[in-house]
Amino acid sequence: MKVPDVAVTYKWPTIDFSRLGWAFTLAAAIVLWLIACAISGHLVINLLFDNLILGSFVALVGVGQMVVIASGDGAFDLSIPYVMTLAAFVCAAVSGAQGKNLAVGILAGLGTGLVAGIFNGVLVTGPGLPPIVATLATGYIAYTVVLLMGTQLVVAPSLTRFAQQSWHGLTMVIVVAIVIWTVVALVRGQTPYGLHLHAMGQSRAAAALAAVRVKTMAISTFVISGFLAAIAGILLSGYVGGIYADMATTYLIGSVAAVVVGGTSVRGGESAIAATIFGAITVTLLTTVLELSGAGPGLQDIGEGAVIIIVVTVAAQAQTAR
Amino acid sequence: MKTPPMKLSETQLASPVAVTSLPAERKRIGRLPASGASTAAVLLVAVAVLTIILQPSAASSSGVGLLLGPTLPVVFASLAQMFIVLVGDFDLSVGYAIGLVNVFSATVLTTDIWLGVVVLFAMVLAYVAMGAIVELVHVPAIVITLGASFIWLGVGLTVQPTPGGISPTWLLQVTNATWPVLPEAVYILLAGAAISWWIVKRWRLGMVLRGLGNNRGALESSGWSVMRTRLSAYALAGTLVVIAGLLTTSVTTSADINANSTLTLTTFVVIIIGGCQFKGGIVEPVGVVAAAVAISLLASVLAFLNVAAAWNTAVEGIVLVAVLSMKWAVHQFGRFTRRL
Repeated sequence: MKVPDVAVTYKWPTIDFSRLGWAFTLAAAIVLWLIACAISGHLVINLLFDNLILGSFVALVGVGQMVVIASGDGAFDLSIPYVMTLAAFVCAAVSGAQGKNLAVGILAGLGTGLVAGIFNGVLVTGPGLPPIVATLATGYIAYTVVLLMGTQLVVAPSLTRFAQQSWHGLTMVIVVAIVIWTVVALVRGQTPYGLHLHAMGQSRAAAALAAVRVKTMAISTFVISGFLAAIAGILLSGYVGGIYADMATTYLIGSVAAVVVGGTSVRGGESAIAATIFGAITVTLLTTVLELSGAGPGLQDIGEGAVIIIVVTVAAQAQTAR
Repeated sequence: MKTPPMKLSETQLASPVAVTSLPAERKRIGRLPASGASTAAVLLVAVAVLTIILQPSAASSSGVGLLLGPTLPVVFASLAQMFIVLVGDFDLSVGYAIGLVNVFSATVLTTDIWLGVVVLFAMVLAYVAMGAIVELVHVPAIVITLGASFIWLGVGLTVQPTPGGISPTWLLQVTNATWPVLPEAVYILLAGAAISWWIVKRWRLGMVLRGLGNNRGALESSGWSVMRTRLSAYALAGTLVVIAGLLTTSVTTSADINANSTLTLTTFVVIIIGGCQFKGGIVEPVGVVAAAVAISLLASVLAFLNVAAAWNTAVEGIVLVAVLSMKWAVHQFGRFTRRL
């Protein structure tokens, strides 16, 4: 008799898998960059830097998404794009057109992200809503708040100056992103938090028996994701120099694609920060290549959707084969 | 005495399903507000009363028809989601899939009916393919359906970059036909509820579908093909998606792939209020239909109240949170009274 599949399977040590993911994703990114160069006719370093900046935004929220996915139980944070937008709007509203209260505005924006994360976490752990439903609901409530805040808000010039300043191509976004990634990597690798996160991702029941505070952990993953989304949203509004209700819509599929292309299992229980960063850059480059080759917005969506399905399918096959 | 193996497996399978669903249904009569399907009934009555108070002409036969017509796409979208939830999955692509059918039926189906029929059939097959990938790959269906949703969106934008198109005239004739006694929309609603109730609660396939959502291991070890069962669920959902898309076209008489982007959340809200369980195996088709009508009527109520259109997006989220808090409060109250 065929033994039925059990949802909980033993995961190989993450280091083994992430090292593989790293190389593959980096190779994919380089190939995509070369294709982009081939299409535009010459080797463009600027193009790479532009994609690194855009990719950093994706990777910032991608790392948040990764933490949520790693907690297992089919958890995803679908509120990311809406939280990004709301944080940017709150920041702009509080800091004012001239940016007199920029510091307060940024704090308020970050606070928005934290509140959204807590709201998500409470909806999931309290009434036991599936994470995707809870985060979608939070997202739409955030979106409504954005719509009600109107179209009159402008980004403070000081925030734009801050987000756009760069040292030899090293833009503020990349600096902030590197700091955040380092912090997340340290917390994940050097503290019990990372251990607990992966434990609960592999089996909630077992982790709970091993005295992991599963509910608090679940809430914390959404808080991290919301916080990172707020940082990315505020920086994005500064970098672009304007805010509008649909400014972050591409970051939903982007964040998931970054995690998936990076090779992190969507079943939870493992995470790979470097791979997620390269995944984000790969996804950004893919969009650039599609754009350069004259594909319309429709084909770009098809491309991103297909990449997720194909990569998930191939990765799962590889995992089963091992 | 030797029992035929097939018969044995059926009884083995039937018992866990029956045990979990039957007492739950009996209990539901006892504690009314706490149970799922009755939440939908209460909400529907409340919204209907509110509608009639705000707009007394809604109580007439033509008023009912005008109000119920636009709820039909949401009803069938929710029924599609219900069959996916029944086997323990989530469909994040349902909104854009219906948008895509909407686009196809307002463009290809109008110009070339046979090509249109082929394309719509291909849409059902695409759903089956989605189910096959979910089963083969063993990852949460969320990822596959999220990826698929962007494919539907992309195809829709490629076929028709800007909103437009025109509904086939025969479709409008079919959906605006006059029926005796009651408006046509009522009959469509009743048919949708009755057929899906029969599929889930009375048909043999329905039992197997519930089995997959309830206890995959039991289904597998009693000799049923999990793959075939999942594909059936996705095929049913795909068919309902096509129906919902056609109804969207008949309501709006044009197509816009982005018009349905919030529909996916709506279906989840309907599923919860309708009394289904997200872990799979337990769904209430009649509750889903009632909840879908209630939720989409809520939009009309807001319009009657002159609430800003921006609020429409949040209403579902707020209703969801409100219903959950109410359920939680009732649950806590029940625990409190039992302790007394």
